[in-house]
Amino acid sequence: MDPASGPRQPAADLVLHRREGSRTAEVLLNHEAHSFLPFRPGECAPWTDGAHIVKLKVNGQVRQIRGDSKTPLLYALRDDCGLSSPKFGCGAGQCGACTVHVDGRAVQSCQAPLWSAEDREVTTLEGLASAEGSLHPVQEAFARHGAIQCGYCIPGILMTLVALKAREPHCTSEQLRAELAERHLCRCGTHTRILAAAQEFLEAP
Amino acid sequence: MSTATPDRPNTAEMTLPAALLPVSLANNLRLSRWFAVHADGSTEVRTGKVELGQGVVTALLQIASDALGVHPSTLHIASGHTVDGPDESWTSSSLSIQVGGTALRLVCTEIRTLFARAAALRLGAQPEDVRMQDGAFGLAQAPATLTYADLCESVDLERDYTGLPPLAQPGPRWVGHALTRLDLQRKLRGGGFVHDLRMPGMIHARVVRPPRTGAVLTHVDVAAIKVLRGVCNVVIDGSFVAVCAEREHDAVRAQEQAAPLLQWSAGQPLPVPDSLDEHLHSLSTTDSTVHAIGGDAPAPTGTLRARYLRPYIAHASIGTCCAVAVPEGDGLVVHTHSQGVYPLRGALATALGLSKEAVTVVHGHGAGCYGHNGADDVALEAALVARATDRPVRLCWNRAEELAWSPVSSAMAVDIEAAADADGSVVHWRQATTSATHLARPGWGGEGVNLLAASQLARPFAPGPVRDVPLEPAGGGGTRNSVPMYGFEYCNIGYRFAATPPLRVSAFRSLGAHANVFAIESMMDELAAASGIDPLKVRLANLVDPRARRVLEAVVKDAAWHAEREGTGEWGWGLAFGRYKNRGAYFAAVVEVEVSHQLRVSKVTAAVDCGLVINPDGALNQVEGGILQAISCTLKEAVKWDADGVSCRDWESYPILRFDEVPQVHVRLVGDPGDPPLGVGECTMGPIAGAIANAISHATGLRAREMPITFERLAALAG
Repeated sequence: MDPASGPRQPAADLVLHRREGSRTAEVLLNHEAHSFLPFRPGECAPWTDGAHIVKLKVNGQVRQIRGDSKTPLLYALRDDCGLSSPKFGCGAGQCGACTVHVDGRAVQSCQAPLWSAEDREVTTLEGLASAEGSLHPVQEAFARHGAIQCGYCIPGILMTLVALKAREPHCTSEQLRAELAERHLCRCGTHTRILAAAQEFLEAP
Repeated sequence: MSTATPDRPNTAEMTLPAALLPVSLANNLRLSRWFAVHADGSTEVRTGKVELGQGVVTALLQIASDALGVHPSTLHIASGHTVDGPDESWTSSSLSIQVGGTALRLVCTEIRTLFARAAALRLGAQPEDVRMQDGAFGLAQAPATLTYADLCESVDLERDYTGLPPLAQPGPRWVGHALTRLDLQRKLRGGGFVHDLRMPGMIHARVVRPPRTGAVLTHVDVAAIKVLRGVCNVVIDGSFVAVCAEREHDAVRAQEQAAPLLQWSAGQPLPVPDSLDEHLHSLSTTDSTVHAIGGDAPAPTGTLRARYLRPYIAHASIGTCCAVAVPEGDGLVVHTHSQGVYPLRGALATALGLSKEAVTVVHGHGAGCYGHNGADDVALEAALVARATDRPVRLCWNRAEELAWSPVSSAMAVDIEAAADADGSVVHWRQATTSATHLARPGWGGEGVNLLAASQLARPFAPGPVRDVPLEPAGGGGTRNSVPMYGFEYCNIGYRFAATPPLRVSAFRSLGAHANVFAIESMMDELAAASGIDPLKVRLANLVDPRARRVLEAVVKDAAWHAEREGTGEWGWGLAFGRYKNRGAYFAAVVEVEVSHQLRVSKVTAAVDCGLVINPDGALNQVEGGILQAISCTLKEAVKWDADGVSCRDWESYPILRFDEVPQVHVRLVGDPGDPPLGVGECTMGPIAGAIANAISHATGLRAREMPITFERLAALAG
C-alpha cells in the first residue's frame, strides 16, 4: 500500500459500530487518530489520593520520594532514583528480576509498596559495585564464568546471592538451587553457569 | 601487479557475481556501509546482525578484527542501525556467523586490501610488499606505522565490493579465542537495555487491550480516563488506545483503570478443542510432498505407525517487550530490540504513513529473544503514541501482554510410518508434518503490515499473506528438518500446511525442527526397540555423512554409552542426533532421566560440530542454553487458550524450567576448524526433545509422543 496516497478513509467496521456508541464515542471515532490532553508542563491529571513523601536511603543516599506510598518500590527506584538494575519482569513476584535489598534482605521490589521501605536502607546492584569501576565479588564470579546470555535476570539473581551469603554463610548447593528455584527464572538457559558462578561466590571466604 | 590508484579500481579487477556472495554482502556492496574511520581517528565496523543474548556481536568483532588486522579493543562495532548500517534483514536462523560473519570477513578483507594499496603508494613500495602488523601497515624491513586513520584520506570507501585479491594478510589471531562478551560489564551492572533508555521529556505509555482479538472499540469514556491520576495523554486511533503519564507507575495504573471505561464489539471467539490432537486434526490444510525418494512403495509388514505432537509454545522472555520512540523533525527515531531493524522500518513507515527515510530504527538490547516476539509490535505502539503526542515515549508491555499478545510458535503433528530390516537399515519411511506457518515477521510475505496494532488503526493495515518458509533455499518452516538426515532407500515426506490457526503464530527457536526431529528421533528408537538393536547401531546403519557419524561417536564416548545397560524403571538414557536445517551444525546428545515421583532430566552429554569455532565460550554458552531451553519446552511448556485468546498469562500458568530442575550438562565441540563456521543457536532443540523421549522409554518402557512430556502424562500412559 502506498503510505502517501489519498485521503484517509475510516474503516468500514468503525462506521458500523459508531452507531452503537454514545455521543462521546461518536465524536471520538470520527477522528481516526487522536491524542487528547496535549501535554503542557504541570497539567497532568492531579493526584487525588495517596500522595505522600516517603523517606528512605537508596544505595547510601537519603531520598525523599513524593508519590503514592502504595506505588511498588520498583517504579520509585527506576523513575525517581534513576536506577536501571531493578528490572520489571512480571509484576507478580514470580520471576525475581526486580530483586533489591531492603535492610539487607532480598525483596522483590515489584511487590513491595514504597511505604514498606520507609526509613529503611535500600540497596540495588548499582550500590554493590564501587563507582570507580571495580566489581563486587559476586559480579566477578559471574564474569569469570561468562554467566550471562541476555543478562536480564542477572541483576536480581546477584542481589539474592549477596543476601543469601550474608544469611547463610555455609549455604549448600541444594540450598542454593532451592533458593534460586523459589525466587528466580532464567529463560536463556544460563542456569548451569549461574549455579557454578554462584557456588564459587558463596564458597569464597 | 596493480597499477590502480586507491580511489580508482583496476579495470582488470574481477567483479564477483552477487549470487556467489553471502546474501548480507550481495545486498550491501557499498563498503562505506560496513566500515568508517571517524574524525577522531577511531575505526568502526558495522553489522546488521544484532545481539539477542547469544553473544554474536562479540564473535563478529573477532572476525572483523582478524580481517582488518587490528586489536578488537581498538575497533568499535555498531549493530542494527538503519541510517548507516548494512541491511542484513533479520538476525535469525543461526545464520549470523555463517552469512553475516562471512560477509563481514570479505568486506573487511577488501577494505584492508584497499588500505594496503594506499600504504604502498605512501611508502613508494609494491602493494605485495606491504605487511600488516599490530593494526598498522608497513614494510617487512621496518616497523609498521601507518594506521587506518593515517591512510583514510587516501582511501575512498564509496565503492562496491569487488573481491580484490587480498593484500597484507595478517593471519588469524582473535578467531578461535574466548574473547569476553562486549556487553558483559554493562549487563553485570544491570544496565544497557532498551528498557533503560531515558530521554528528556519522555513519557510512559501503556496500551489498553481489547478483550479478544478482532474486537472493535465502540465507546470510550475519555472524560473518565483524563482524570485518572497522572494521566497526561490519551491516544486513540481506531481501536488502538493508549494512556500516557510522566511517571511509569501512573501509566501502569491508568492502563488497568481505563480498561472498564472502554467498550468493545464481541470479536470472534476462538474454537477451544478438547485435545491438541483433535485441534491439529481439525485444522484445514493444504497438502504437498516436499521430498520423495524410492517411488511409491506400499508399507511392508511390521511397519510401525505413530503420531507425535507438539503444542503452541511461547517465547516467554524474562523481560517484557519495550520500545522508546522519539519524534525527530517530520519523522521518528525508534529504539527497539527487534531482530530486524530494516524490515521493521519498512513496516513502521507504511503503518505511520511516512517515508522509510523519515523513520530511523536503532537496535538496543532486550531480554533474551528466541524468534519473532512482540518486540516489533511494541515499536509500532510506541511510535504511534510518540507521533500523536510529539514527545519521546517509552512503552513497555506487562507480563500478561507479553504472554497473550506476542506471536507464539505453531503447534505441530508429525505422522510417521516406518520399517527397518533385521540389521536396522530403514526400508520404508513415510512422514507428514502438520503445522501452521513459522514465519510472520514484519517484512515477510510482501504486501501488508505484520504488526499487532496495524490492524486496529482507523486506517488499518492487514497482515501480509500467510506463507511458510519454503524448504529451499531457506531450510523450511514447518518443514524444517522434516527430511531425515539418514540415507533411507524409501522416504516420502509430506507437509500439511494450515493457513488459519486460531493463534497468532511466527518464528521461534528452530521453527519446525523441534517437532520434526523429536518425531524422527523417537521413531528411530521405536524401530530399534522393535528389532532389538542398539539405538546407536540403528542410527549408524543409516547414516552416511561422516560428520554426522563423528558427533554420534563423540557423544557416546563421552557419555560412556553401552547398549547393554538397561533402564531401571527409575533411570534411563536416550540418544538422538540432528543436523540443523540439514545444512547447519551437527548435534548429538545422550540424555539421562530420572522417573520416580517426578520426571527429571538429570544429565545431558552433547557433542557439536559447527566447523570453525569463532568464540568457543560463546558457542558453548549458546549450546548449553539451547539444551536447557529445549528441556523446558519439551517437558513443561504449552500455550493454553480459551475463547478470548491465550489464557496462560503469568509464570504459574506458563511454567518454564526452574533452577532445581537443571541437569548436569557436558558439551564438547568436535568440529574441524578447516570447515566453514556454522551457527549453533538452534541445533539442540529437536535432538534434545527426541533424546528425552527415548530416555523415558528406556527407563520405563513408556513411549511419550506428545509434548509437553509431563509426569502426569506418563502416569496416564502407564494406565
